[in-house]
Amino acid sequence: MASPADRLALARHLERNVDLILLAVIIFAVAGATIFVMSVTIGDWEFWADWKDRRFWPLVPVAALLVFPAGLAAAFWSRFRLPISCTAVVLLYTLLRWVSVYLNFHLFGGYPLSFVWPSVFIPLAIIVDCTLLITRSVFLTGLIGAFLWGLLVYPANWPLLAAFHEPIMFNGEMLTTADLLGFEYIRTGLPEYVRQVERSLLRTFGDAVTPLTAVFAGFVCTLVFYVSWAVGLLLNNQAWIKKI
Amino acid sequence: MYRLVVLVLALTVIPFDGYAHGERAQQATTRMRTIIWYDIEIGPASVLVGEMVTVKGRFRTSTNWPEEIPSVEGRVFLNVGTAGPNFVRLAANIDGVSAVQSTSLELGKDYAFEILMKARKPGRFHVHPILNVKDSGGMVGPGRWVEIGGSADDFENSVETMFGREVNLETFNLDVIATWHVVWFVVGGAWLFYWLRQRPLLVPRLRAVEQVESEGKDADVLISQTDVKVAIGFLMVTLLLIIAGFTWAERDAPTTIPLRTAKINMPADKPYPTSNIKVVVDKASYRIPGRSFRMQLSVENQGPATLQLGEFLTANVRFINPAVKTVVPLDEHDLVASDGLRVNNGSIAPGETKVIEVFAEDALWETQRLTRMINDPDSVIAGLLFFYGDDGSREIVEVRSQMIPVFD
Repeated sequence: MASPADRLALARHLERNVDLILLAVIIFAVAGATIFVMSVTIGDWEFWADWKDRRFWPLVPVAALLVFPAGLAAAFWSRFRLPISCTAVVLLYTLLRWVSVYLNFHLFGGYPLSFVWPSVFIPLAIIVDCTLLITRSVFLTGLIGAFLWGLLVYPANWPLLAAFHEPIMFNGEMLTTADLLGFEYIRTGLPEYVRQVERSLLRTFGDAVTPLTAVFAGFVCTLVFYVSWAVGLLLNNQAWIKKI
Repeated sequence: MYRLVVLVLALTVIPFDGYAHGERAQQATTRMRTIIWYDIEIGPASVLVGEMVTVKGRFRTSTNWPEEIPSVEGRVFLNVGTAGPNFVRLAANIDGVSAVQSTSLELGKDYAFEILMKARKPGRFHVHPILNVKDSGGMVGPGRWVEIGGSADDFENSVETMFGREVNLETFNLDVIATWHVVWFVVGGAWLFYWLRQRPLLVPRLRAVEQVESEGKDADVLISQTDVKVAIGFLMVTLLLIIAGFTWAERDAPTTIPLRTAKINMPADKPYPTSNIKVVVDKASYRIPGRSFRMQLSVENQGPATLQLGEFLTANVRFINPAVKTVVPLDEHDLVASDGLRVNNGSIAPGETKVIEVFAEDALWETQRLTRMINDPDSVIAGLLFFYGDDGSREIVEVRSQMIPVFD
């Protein structure tokens, strides 16, 4: 018969391990779901260098990526008061994305890594988590944190991307380095016109494409955050979840 | 059971080489009536890494293009069908106009094209020209096998930007990309570590939150002042790093341009192809047991030379009349029926109008799934007829007809 002290020690030991397993399962499941959804919906924007434009790439992937982390944040905040879910999911998502582009596109597909590198999203997640902790307000986190998530994706990635947008003269035409990669490294099933990138339209407001997109992305991300939080909270309060 | 598991894993996990590009997957009628490729040359058939390969030839945009399929008048891109970037494409043009980006073409016109590629990885690859047509898909041309020897390590691909930056496209900017990703992994990891070091974490906090809320208090009391200070620190560091990175990038690449998406304009006054021969298909049938396609043609020779039908080309399959010319397949997948064309009452003198009977017979009708058009809603066959003159001239004419199957 174990003593009460032994039983308490065993309980704490079990608690530590259950804790670890539970955390790993939740984060892996959500990050896995995120990368699956991102891959089948907006994957091309996320890694091809010649898809990272000024209008759609800073808006669509970044808004779509926020759905799962924000939903999980609702659960982690309401149940544990833990502001880590956005960072944890995005960090693991980025790691999985690196594994995916390295194995699928570099080793198997044969594309240079400089053509298929994943975007940077981790700092955006840190900002949302920190804002949630500092303000302890869902409303302010959506208004400030999620807005910054959308607003800062372009500057956060610019150190990696800028050099790809330097002009090159190629066969009498001016291209970016990213365009040249897209032309030279053959993609049979992905012709140039398939890219969903900025084209010359009237609604570009002159040169202010990037700031406008950034502000709009911030606005969209704020809305996405609130909706995802509400859905996350709804799912979290289901009876079957509570039994778990 | 163990062997079965190993077999299934082997089949699903181990990558196998892809040998085809779905060239037979499209409906026969689509292949016959969209892009008609001819005079295709792909070579040399054997090169070393770093050596050049040329894909060139001509294609006609069919006047019989199915109206339900978006045509080349929308947006097209001259592409290469091959198993990944085993070559890099250094130049492409249509009628001498650079085809780096997409363009539009006209129906019923004849275009010359050329693609220059540099061999990148050793192996044996099937190479096709492809015209990607927006909202329709890739229209695949004839393929050839190209063997690449040597070592992938010998491959180099460098260019220079307009500001003199030397760019090795194989590894460009990877050091910067890797550095920033590592930086963010470290910062993100540190944030997680700050929280996860307090293990056990979830269960005690869950209990604490429930306890506090059951007492009617706000669970925010679980957040300490240290937590807030640490969060402010992480937020500041993150924002400063973003600003610093952006500033550095602006100095490193002060002049940048957006991605290029302009459509390339082809000359607008391109004439329709002309020929000295007029051909009307009186009737056409396909006898299924004999794999024999028969056409009855009314032909009017308006040129100065006596003409003979030498070739019928449809859906990349070339039926050759051996009485007129000799064509042998260049490799095992070259779609040439060297003696697949038989013509009765064949020679047409200058100024003469006569009826000739043409038989195109080969197993390629079946293996290339061309007879599947019997199952299509419109069993229309189309292709190019190549007539050769006794003075060495060549007349090309496009024909189309309903194909009536003969089942006995």
